[in-house]
Amino acid sequence: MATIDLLDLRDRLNDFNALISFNGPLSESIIKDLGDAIRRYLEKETDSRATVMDVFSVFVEQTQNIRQYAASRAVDDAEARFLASAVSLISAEDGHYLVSSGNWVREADLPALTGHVDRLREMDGGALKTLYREVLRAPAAEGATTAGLGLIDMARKASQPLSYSCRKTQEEGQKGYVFFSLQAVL
Amino acid sequence: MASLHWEASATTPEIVWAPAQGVLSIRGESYPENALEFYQPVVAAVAEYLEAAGDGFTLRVDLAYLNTSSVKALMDILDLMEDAFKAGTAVKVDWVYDEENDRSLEMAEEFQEDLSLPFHAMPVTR
Repeated sequence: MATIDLLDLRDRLNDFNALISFNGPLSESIIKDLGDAIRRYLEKETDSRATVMDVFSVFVEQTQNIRQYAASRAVDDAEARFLASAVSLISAEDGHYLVSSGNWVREADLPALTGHVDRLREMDGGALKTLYREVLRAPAAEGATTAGLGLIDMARKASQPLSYSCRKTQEEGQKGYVFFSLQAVL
Repeated sequence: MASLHWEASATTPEIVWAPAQGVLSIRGESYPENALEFYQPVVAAVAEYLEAAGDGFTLRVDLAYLNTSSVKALMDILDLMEDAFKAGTAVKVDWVYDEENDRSLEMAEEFQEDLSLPFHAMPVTR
């Protein structure tokens, strides 16, 4: 086995100005514990309680969306674990906090997801608020387990339009998965 | 009607339902993954109470944080209350929030915009 050397990983994380990062299968308890760590960390960095809560809240919505997606799509335990495996990154840039996540998405599901984010990217604060209220007031679909508000809420908390990218790799691409990265700048 | 008491868990608030007084109290933080499922028995208890033309109903909310699916569940309870209010039942919301937590007050204000029932935002210092 090769000798451990984490310097490259450290340099990459430093390139991102990473404050807190996670890579692995998300569970409800990991989301809770990481969320607590994020809040404790930020409480030392800023006096703004609202900032701390906004970063925490976008982190929760991103990671719970991924868990929800994995639960709704996976056909077996192996796929559930694969789809719930994600990268989460809290970083800082130009006086802003950035909350990012990356996860595998079935290629067939991608157009609906990116289409939704693209529509949100076009909206200003007023339009986002109107859409949020519409979805909030709409009766939940039969058997729905999610309110469908997560991305809209992230977009409302962000100071810039949400950004994303999709990347296909040889191995996962053959299996029909694309890596989806999402970022909210607060 | 039976009273109910749920202890707080890592991601769910303490919930106390006292039908004799007509008071439902929700306190803490709320971000379970399955919020709609989690709140379903609470929503059902409120619906049953209001349908039986309860004498009065108070929702006391003291939540520092809600995820979006908890917001949706809370909206379901508020919708039931709004319907009862329009039908002449005395209902009210007491929304307790930490003065330092702007987000909790903003959320109260957004709920209020959609409701005509009595809604009291009550700041506390912690």
